[in-house]
Amino acid sequence: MRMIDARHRAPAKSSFLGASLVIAALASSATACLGEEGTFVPPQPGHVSRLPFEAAPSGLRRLTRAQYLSSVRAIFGDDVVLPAPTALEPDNPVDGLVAQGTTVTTISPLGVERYEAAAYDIAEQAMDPARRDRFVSCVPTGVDDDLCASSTLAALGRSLYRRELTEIELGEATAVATHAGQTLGDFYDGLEFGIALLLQSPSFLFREELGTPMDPGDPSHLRYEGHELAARMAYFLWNAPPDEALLAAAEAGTLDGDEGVRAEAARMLADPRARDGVRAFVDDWLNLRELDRMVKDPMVFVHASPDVGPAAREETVRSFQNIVFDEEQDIREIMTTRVTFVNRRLAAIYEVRAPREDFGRIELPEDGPRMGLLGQVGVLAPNAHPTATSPTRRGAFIRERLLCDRVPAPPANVNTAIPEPSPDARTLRERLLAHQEVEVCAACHVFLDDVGFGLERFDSLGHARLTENGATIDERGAIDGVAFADARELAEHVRASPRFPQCLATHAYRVAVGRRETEGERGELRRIYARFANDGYLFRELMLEIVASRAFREASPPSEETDEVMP
Amino acid sequence: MTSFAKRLGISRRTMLRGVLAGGTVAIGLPALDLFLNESGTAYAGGMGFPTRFGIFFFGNGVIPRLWNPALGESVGTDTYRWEATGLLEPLAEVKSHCTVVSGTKVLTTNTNPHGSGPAGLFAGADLVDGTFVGPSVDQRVADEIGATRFRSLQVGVQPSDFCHSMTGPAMVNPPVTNPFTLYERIFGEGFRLPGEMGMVDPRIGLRRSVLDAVSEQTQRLRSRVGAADRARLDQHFEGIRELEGQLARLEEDPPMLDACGRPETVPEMDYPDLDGRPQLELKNRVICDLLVMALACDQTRVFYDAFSQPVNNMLFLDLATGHHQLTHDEPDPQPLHERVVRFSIAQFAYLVSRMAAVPEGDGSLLDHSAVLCTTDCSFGRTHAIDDYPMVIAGGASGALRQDIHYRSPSNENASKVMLTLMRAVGARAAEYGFGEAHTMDGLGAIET
Repeated sequence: MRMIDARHRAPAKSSFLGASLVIAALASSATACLGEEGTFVPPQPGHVSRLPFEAAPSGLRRLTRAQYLSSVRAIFGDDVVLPAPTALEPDNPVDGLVAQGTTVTTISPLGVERYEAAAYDIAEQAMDPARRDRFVSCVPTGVDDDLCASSTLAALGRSLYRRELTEIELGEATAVATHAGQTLGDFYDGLEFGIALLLQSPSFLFREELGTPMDPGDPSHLRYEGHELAARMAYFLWNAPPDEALLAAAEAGTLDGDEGVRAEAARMLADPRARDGVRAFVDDWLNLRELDRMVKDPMVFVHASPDVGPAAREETVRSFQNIVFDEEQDIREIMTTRVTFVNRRLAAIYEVRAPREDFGRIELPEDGPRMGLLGQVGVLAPNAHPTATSPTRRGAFIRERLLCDRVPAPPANVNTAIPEPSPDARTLRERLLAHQEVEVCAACHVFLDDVGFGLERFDSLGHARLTENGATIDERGAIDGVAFADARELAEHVRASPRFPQCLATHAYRVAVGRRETEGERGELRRIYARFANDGYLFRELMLEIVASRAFREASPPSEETDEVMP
Repeated sequence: MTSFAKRLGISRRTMLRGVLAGGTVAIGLPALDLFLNESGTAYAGGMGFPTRFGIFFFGNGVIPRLWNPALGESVGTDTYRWEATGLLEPLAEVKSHCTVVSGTKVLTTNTNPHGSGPAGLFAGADLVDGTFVGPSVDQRVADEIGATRFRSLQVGVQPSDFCHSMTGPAMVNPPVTNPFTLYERIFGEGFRLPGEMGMVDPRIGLRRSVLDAVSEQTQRLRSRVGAADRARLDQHFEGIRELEGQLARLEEDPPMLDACGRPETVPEMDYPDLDGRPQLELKNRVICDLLVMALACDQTRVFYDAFSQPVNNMLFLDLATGHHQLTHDEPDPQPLHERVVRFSIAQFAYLVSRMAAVPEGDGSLLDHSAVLCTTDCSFGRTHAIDDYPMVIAGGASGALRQDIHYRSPSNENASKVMLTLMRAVGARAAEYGFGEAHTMDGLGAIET
């Protein structure tokens, strides 16, 4: 768990659609769990919400590690050796999402050091004799050829800053390069320093999404235009910087109108790079980054190894990409599909024949216990303990990430011990039921555990089992007042719940804009959601509708007040 | 200026600088004792040894019943002699340097299990929007005493990007948890031992000119954004300034400290898990050795060591259950959780013993330090934040009493301990904490 935790920053009523109706989670006592089921208000066909639109404030967004790397790759070439992701400032999830961290967090002193080291490493590679002609199109007249340095830096700067450099910025970079060239006695060595400057500039490390007044006389209504909108679109749809075509469209004013935005977005969503946009979204939404540091006890699980987590991360991403790009299916299919993509490690856990190539497509058996997202190691394993499962954590995952229900933190000063396994209570399920007999625990544990019980067929690593400590597994549970028999029925229920695609859309929106939705955006979000539903829940349509929405393209000026929090 | 340098008729700085342009003539400096005064208690220019401040943090709380030592003979108001027993047994060998503080309470609200304790203790207020309301105590201390190459260092043993060292809300100083990376950062390119000839690289000056330009761009961008983003850019700006400072330090003579040496072995690139268990003890030793040498070389005076994380579910020792799960699920008397806490305290004891082994003048590096060992709640199972577990190692250059157990009889404000620590290590602080947790008084009973 991170310090920065959704449960403690969530405004009480922040559900995306309609009034949030507090259902005091199946409990009637005074100690009821304050968990909240997002209440679904079906959008009425043809009805456009009359909620007044109010744009959210503009601001800076720090590049994530993946965005830094994709930017460097796009701008300097595939053959440049990139810094290790761990050698860059870490991504800081806020409210459970790395994307939301980008609008809040800054760069630590250690981060400044790391970006500096990375900048010189990249600049040196760019000025390698075998590579530099890509960037330097002039023949330097000496160690300090101002013009040649300037034209090189102007072009690179436009890619890195995602806009033209100002005269001052270009002057600074050129002066640095020229001075360094003189000191070191070599034009290209000098240019390295100019490039390193661009790579360390806040205008590269942060995306400037500041907005422009729609009406020059009225600074209270802003719009993302040209380069700003291009970058906003590219990092959402591709998790990468704008390409030349998008920058050109931005400069030609094409992105100032609805049609231009839709046309560019459609082009981008048809481009293979859109797979990376979906990867970034799925990774963030389902918190898959945890998989890289997953702890499973190899003394208990023969299939546990350090590469299982990363493989499971890849599986989940690929199964989404398959539905979105290859099958072009209703995204809700992710809950029930039998198609997935495994390597040998995962195949062993799933007890299926390994595909010939890593992450080849397979179909799970029709009569097996496993299907869809809830049958994947990427969901089952990180939401469990190193050896034991955790119906509580798995239940919380389904509630929070798939249905956008609100789960409060456990209260302080309660005894959380559960009984040791005994002849009366051999399975974790039986032991956890003890919580449900204690009033103070019952409400939340019913809210979570009754959902998580549905996945008890899968051990902590995600391998299917029939017994625990010799007792037969009972995988029955209940959700939303409906009983289910097993994991497959639970998956069917989630798939059929209107809250599921709504929650998916909410998360996609948060990833797109880097923050929680505001009250003033609710109407726009309803409209986006209605289109998503009408289009048959095609994820690319959702992305397109988000990008084309006013909420994505308009802004209000940021507060001039310091956000002083007085405890 | 020492007699040796006078004999040569040049300043030390000139000696080091003089070899730059021409090449690589190295003039070794003789015994570093020359830079100490006659009694050996001060270095370079009559200054005393610097006072350092550190935090050693482990996750998931303790078992208070086994943590708090029995009250021994009274040695002042609410202070007692103590024995290293129970969970504190691993401190036996360094006990004479350690003071136990028990019975104080984090008086801010307890809304976030594992989060409210550190927030109240280190930032003086409960979490707001999931993060600290302002800088953590180590950063406030660094503001005052951090004028070294590294203003502060954040390290850890469990791999993580998080620790409680924060320069402001949501502004985490990520710890370095890879020993090799830490070695490179401190002792890699550019580091010189006291008296070692430098070949100052002209690139260092050029890097500083680049950072100047980056600073300019940051300031210009700052003028175009709202208040919240200004605060973010200010923080970024501070980081750039810090790096400029670091580069400047590399061009200067290193501080003349006897005990400073380059670590003899370069750490491994990687410390892979063995049988699914992280090599915590080995990694802790390497990280602590590097940290202690960084302190001995005066590369930093402030550190935060996140040995293990809040809510960590690592497999410690030979256990088959994750630690966090144990704290909650294991029935009384929690023998397995007990083993993990005891192990964690042994790791702290290693750090303390290494600091005590570094001679500085009449005493040791530890004598010129105060290191707080604490965790994220008192009783891990219930997330309670009263009777907060704290051990302080080191005398803070004579400001703190050692080898006593202070037992608050009245759930006193834990902020008082923090205020005392700040003042003891030379940070000016008139007050600590907000709301209920606010105090203007330290904990006099542990001060000398």
